Parts: sequence; C-alpha cells; structure tokens
Amino acid sequence: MDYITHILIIIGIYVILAKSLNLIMGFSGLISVAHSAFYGIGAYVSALMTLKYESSFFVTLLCVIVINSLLGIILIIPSFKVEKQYFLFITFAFQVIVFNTLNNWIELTGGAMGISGIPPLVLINWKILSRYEYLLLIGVFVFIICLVCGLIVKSPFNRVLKAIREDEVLALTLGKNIIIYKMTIFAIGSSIAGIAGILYAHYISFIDPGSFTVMESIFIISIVIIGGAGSYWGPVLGAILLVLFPEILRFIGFPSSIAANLRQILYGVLLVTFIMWKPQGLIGSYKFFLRNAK
Amino acid sequence: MSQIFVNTLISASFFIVIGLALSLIYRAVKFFDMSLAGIFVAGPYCMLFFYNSLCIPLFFALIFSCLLSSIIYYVIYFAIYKRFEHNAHSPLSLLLASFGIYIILQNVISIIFGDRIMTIRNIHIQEGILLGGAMLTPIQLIAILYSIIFVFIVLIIMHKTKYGLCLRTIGENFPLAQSLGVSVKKTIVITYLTVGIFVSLLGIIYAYDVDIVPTMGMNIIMMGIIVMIIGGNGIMKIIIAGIILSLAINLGAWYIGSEWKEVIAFAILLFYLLMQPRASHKAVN
Amino acid sequence: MNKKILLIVLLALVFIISTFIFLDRNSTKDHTLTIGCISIFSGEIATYGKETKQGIALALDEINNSNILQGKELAVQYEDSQFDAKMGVQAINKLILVDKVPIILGAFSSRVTLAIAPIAEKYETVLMSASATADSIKNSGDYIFRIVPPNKVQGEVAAFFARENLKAKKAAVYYVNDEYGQGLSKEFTNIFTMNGGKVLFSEGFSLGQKDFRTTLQKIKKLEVDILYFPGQAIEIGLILKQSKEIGLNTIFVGADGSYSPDLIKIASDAASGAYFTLMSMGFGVSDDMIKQFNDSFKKKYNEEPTVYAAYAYDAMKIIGQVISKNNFDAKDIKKGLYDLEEYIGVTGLTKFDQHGEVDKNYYVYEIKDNKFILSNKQF
Repeated sequence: MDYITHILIIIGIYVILAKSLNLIMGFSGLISVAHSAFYGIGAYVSALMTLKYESSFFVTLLCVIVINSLLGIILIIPSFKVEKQYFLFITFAFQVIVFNTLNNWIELTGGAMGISGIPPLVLINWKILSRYEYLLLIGVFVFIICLVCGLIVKSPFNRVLKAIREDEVLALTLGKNIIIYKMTIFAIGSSIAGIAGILYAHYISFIDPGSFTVMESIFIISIVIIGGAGSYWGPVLGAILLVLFPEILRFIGFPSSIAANLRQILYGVLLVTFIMWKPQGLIGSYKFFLRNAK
Repeated sequence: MSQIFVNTLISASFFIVIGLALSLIYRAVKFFDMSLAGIFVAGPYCMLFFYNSLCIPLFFALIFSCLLSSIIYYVIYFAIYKRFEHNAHSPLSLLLASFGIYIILQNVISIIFGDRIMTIRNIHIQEGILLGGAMLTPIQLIAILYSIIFVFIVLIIMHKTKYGLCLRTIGENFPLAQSLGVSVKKTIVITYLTVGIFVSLLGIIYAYDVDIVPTMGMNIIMMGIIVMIIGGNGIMKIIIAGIILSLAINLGAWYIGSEWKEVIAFAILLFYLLMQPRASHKAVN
Repeated sequence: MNKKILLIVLLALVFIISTFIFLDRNSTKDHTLTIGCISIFSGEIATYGKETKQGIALALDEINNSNILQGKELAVQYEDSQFDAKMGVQAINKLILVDKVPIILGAFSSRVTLAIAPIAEKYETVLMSASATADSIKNSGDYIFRIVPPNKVQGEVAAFFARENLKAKKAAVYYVNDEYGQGLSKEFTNIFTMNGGKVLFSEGFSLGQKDFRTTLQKIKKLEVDILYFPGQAIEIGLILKQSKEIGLNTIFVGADGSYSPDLIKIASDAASGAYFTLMSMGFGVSDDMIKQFNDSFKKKYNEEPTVYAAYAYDAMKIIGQVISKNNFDAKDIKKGLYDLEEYIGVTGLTKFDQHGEVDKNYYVYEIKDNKFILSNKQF
C-alpha cells in the first residue's frame, strides 16, 4: 500500500509538470527544454530556504513563483526575434547553465552530493509527515492546477494564444500584444514547474542536480506529446502511462542495469513514433508541429 | 600560455568538424539533426567491436567502423526523416524527433557495451611531443590535421564539384533547385553517407584521446550547434566561430576552472541569441 | 468518445496487472530472513558491486551452512544504486517499504550513504556500510553503522606517509568535488602543513569529468613533490594517464575510492608506482582467518579477493552473528550491534562506539606490475 501511494505521488508530481509544460507547448506552440531547470530551481530554492531560514511554505512558494517568473520572462524575450528551433536552443542553453550551476556551485548547493535531510512541509500548523498526508497534499495541488489550466483554456486569453500558435503574423495584425501573452503563459508555466519542484524536494527529502537534466526535460516533453499537446486530459494520461510503465518493468524483474536503458529506449521510441506519426498524441486534437496544423 | 593556444587548436578542431558536418546536413534537409551525436559515438564503439573484439587489423577496422556508422546514419534518414522531409513536418518536430533517435542509439550502445568507460587503444601511454613550449600527444596532432584536411575537402567539394553545387542550391532555394532538375534525393543520400563517415572517424579520434562512454555524443554535438549558430552560413565563418568558442572555453577553464566549460559555451550562445536584431534569424542565407 | 473509453480500459488493466504482480512479489516464505543490500551493480564502477556481492555470498554460504540461525535461512535482496544518490533513495525506499527488511548492508559509496541515511533513520531501519568513509556519516543517526574507519584517519595516514616516508615538502591536492574528496583533502592539508609541509595548490574536479589537462598543466608548473588525488577509479585513472602524456612527473598518492581494476585498465603503465591508502585488513590480528578467507574465496570464485570483498564478507558475518543472538527486527538488531563485544574478523577487530563507528587503520598500497599490492613502506 505504501509503495502504491509512493507511485501515486510521483504521478501527481509529473501531472503538474506536464500540465504546466502543456500550457507553454500546447497553447503557445513553444517547445521548452528548460522545464526541468525550473523544476530544479523550485526544488533547490525551497530546500535551501527551509534548511537555512526555516521559512514557511507560503514564503518559499512566493519566492519560487517570483524567481521562476522573472527567469521565464527573460528567456521569452528573444523568442520574437528568432525562429522556434532557436528558441529551443535558448531553452537548452538555459537548462545546461542551470544544471551546471547546481552541480558546480558547491558552497551553495552541495554540488553533486546534493542536499539531504530536507524537512517535511509545514502548512500553517499542519506538519505533513506521513505518505498519505502527502498524497492528499499532492492531490489538492493537482486539482488546483487543473482548475487553473481549465480557466485559462476557457478564457479569451486562450483564444489569443491559439491564434499566436497557429499564425503569429495574423495575430499581430489583429493588434494583440503577443509579447505580453507569451510572457504571461511562460511565466505561469515555469512557476508551476517550480511548485512541482517544491513538492518533490520535501517528499523525497533528498535532491541532487542529476534529477534536473536535459533528459528530464525531454521526458516531460514526451509526456505532453504522447498524451496529446494542447488537450486537457492528455498530460494526465501521459504522466500516468509513462510513470507506471517502468515500475511494471521493475517488478517483472529486469536486471536494473538494462532496465534503465530500456526505459530510455522506450521513451525515445515513443517520442519519435508520436512526433512522426501521431503528433496529436493519444487523445489530443491539435496536430502539434505540423506546418499546416489543423 | 602556449599550452592554452595548443589546447584551443585541439578542441577547435573537433568543434569545426562537427559544426561543418551539421551545417552540411542542415543544407540538405533543413533541420538540426541531433542523431549525428549518436553516429559520433557509434564510430568508436564499432571500433571496439572490430578492432578489440574481432582483432581485425587497424586499417580495416577503421574502414569497417566508419562504413557501418555511415550506413546506420543513412538508415536512420531513410526510415524516419525521409518520409517527412520538406513538407508537413516543421524543422522543430524533426529536431525533437532526432533527439529521440539519439536517445535510442545511445541506450542501445549502453545495453550492448555497458555504461563503463572503454578504451580502444592498447598502446603504451607515452609523453607527448613538445611543440614550442606546449605538450601535444600524437593523437591530438592527428585531430588538428584531420580538421584541416576536412575543411579543405569540404571547400573543394562545395565549390568544384557538381554535387557541391547541388547541395548549395538546395540549401539556398529548395523550390528553385527542384525546378532546375537537381536530383535532391541523390544529393541528400550522398550527404548523409559522407557526413556519417567523417563524423564517426572524428569520434574514433576523440576516443583515442579521451576514452569513451556512451553519453559523450551530446556534449560535442551541442558545441557543434553553437559553432553553427554563431558562425552562420559560410565555411570560413564556422571556422572562426569554432576558434573563438574554443579560445573562450580554454581561457575560462584556465582561469576559472574546467568544470565551468559548458556554462561558458552556452552562455556565449545565449548571449549571442539574445543580442539578435529584430528579424528572423536563419542559419542559411 | 470510443478512443477515450478504450484508454480508460487500458489504464484499468495496467493498474490491475501491476497490483497482482506487486502482491505476488510480496508473499514471503516463513523460514527465510531477508536483509537488504545496496551497492553499485551497474554503470561506470560496477566492479565494486561485484566485489561486494562476492564477499556477501561467501559469508552467506558459511552462515547458512553453519546453521547458527537454527533452521532459518538468511537471504539478501540486492538493489542497485549505481553511483547515484537518487537511485540509492529509490532502492532504499523499495527495500524498506516493499521488502520490509530490518537491516541494510550499504551503501557502497559515501555520497549514496549520506543520501539514504536520513531515510533509514526515519523508518528506523539499520544501515551498515562496509565501505563508505566520509566523516559526516558518523553523525548520520542512531541506526547508522559502519565497519570502515572514517576519512579523518585516511587523510592523516596519507599526509604522514607523504611527509615521513616520501619526504615530500611541496604538495598539490586535486580532489573529487564531493564530501569524500573534500573531507580527505582538508584532513591531508591540515596534517601535511602541521608537519612542516606546504600545500601549493588545491582544487576540485567533478565526477564524470574526462579532461584534466588544463589543471594538470597548472600543477606541472609548480613542480611539487607529490600530488594527492582522492577520487574514484575512472577519473583518477584518466588523471594518471593524462599526467604522463603532458609530462607531469611527480609522486601520486590517492585514496580508497580509486581501488578498482578499472583504474589500471585506463592508466595502464602510467599507474605504475602510484600509492593509495586502503582500509586495514586484520594483518597481525587474524592472519589465520585471512588465510582461510583467501582460500575459500579462491575456491569459490577462482580469483583473489579484494579489500572491499573482505569488508563486505566481514560485515555480513557480523550481521549473521547479531541476528542469531537477537530477534529479527531493527530495534533489536541495532541494540545487538552496539552491544557487540569485539568481533575479530578478516578486517581485524570490530567494535562499535556510541556513534556506530569503529577504530581501525589505513594501510598504504602501491601499484606494481599492474596490481595493487601492500607497500613495504608503511606509515
């Protein structure tokens, strides 16, 4: 039972990550390889703040949102001047820089040794100690974030984003200030990734830079694409499938040396298959990436 | 000081070859093909198989390895990219797909050969050659010579052969190329096969220098991409970009510490992209 | 709509199947006592896991054949942490929550041990390492034990060896950038300078780094008598190789983390003459047991045992003894370990102090003829 709870918590965290990336990718058509960097920043900021200053949950939440939003806005700025593939490289560069900083700035982050003994979260007076309480917390956050995404989807804000995604030039002619829209959505998406980071850090009680690499970003991208970019339940479905499958492999008893590689091969195959043959994902309806997307 | 100069030349050699290779592929198929990183790694692992396991003499092992890697690269193109080129799929999706293919290649290599570091050489480790105050191993000298030769080959092919003309035309104006009867398919095939050979050979040289792990391809390729983006279109520009990047990295490594090499490289890329004027940036004119 | 229903059905199936597999794995046989083991079984330095398993398996044979557990059989559930703290965390979570073991032998490396110790403490499970030497493990908790001496001792031995035996006056320190390397470099620097030496250079390198030439060139310019380089086998092997290539000629002194055949594979003849400190065997205390151990090991595996295999063997034997005298639960085992009166094994005398630490020494080994052998120069 305990282990199932653990799996559910991990799924919950990835749902949050996938939904937030879906906001960025699915609704404004930008591919970001930097999502795990924002995830990592959230985790490290929260871990360090609670360990050094014993700050409360809401303070760290606020800090993470502010930091990630600012960084997100800075990254978006060049996206108007360059094509989408170059934006991908910008996010790649950001991701690598963040990872290396976490890994090399040992005085601050402990480097590759990571940070251990992260204390449990405290919400006002409620100390979240047991797994079940944590599951409850994650559930609440998933619910809130789904609500927020849902609101964004139904809003006029979203219609503008869709217009931007399909045809930037047209959207420009309609007089909408694209820059503000893109910035907002990227800031929101990145902040939510940071929140997932906070939840992760306090759950596992140990973080190291190895959890926040380019491969992790690509994993989250795979979840979004396979589930269906731009759809509401797509990221949820994708997260459940991509998290469960290696766990099943593990129980069937594959030697762990091969299991890790097989898992990555699976992700690679799924990624390529879906991009090339089923770009709308399992239950999406937007054929992501295609030039004349319909 | 002269050591920094020599180190710069060495890493610049690798960057320039990869950068040029990537730009050739880009001209042909109009997207950044990350699966080339897998071919870079495949070369040395094929060598491990042919030279270390099967004990085939060095010269033939080299030929087999490069041919095999090149064929693998072409098969990737044929099985996947070919179906979707130049029409429905955006370069972004192909780029992402090529990431996926790299992941598959790298992990297949990991399964077959294991993740542990592997050595191809079985020669004695010797002191390097002293060249004007700096130390240089024979293999590093080979790397520098290789890059010079490669640059010359590319220059000659691009400007003096029919194939080169085809490639340049496709790169600059695809519809025009088609209407002029340029055999696009053949050009692309030749490009993939030759680039595959040269990049896998580069990988083998690299492996002789620093030994191999399955994950080393991505790093080098990213340096090549940085060089390509900063360098832009011309071959000369790529060479200069490679030298500048290499110089910045090695100076930084000397004064700040070698663990920050990647950060320096990507910070340069970031800075460059952030400084672009307000216009669509293209790697090809 | 149809698509969505299909997918929901698929998901449900996946859930049901996984639950069945999970439940099935969980059924335990009554007469088997299972403990856990976390080590490095894959990835770059998998020889360590292999050696650990060899030592443990040999000890297991002896324990189960001697019937000290009165009819019950002792078994080990192995989990792979690679050289990655996060995987170690996953491994210990599974061992504690799914396999429900009361004691875990591991982890192999300091960094993984430090990451999983808080979890062992939290879930009140005993964690005993046969090889993790970072100093801070001492204070990791009540349930944390180890049968190896800490890096404080190792750094001291290296520094004294450098000063007294090698007569070195100027040293450079190039350490792996984690608690293991940092702790050792700090201790070495302290003792070396306290005894009249000078450390001219001190810098860290990252795990996974492949090119050290820039820093080695800086060190070459300083013309030091020795280079102290605590780190893991792959990086240290590359450092030895690249030092020779750039003409850095000095005496090399390293630490136990480099003790692996992989080092010799990478550095080949560049490794000749390098010194390394290793945790002490029980020479002079339990020579009979050591000979017996060597013979049984050679008989079973057809190769010589390494120091790590010996330590894993001893750890397993100690666990076997404690389990035979106590109830099979974590609290009793913990008490049993603290109460252990001087266990004599192949690694010498083991007795745990109130921190779960032991009082042992380090010996100096050197590389000759492509092998690690006990040096005839000892501090």
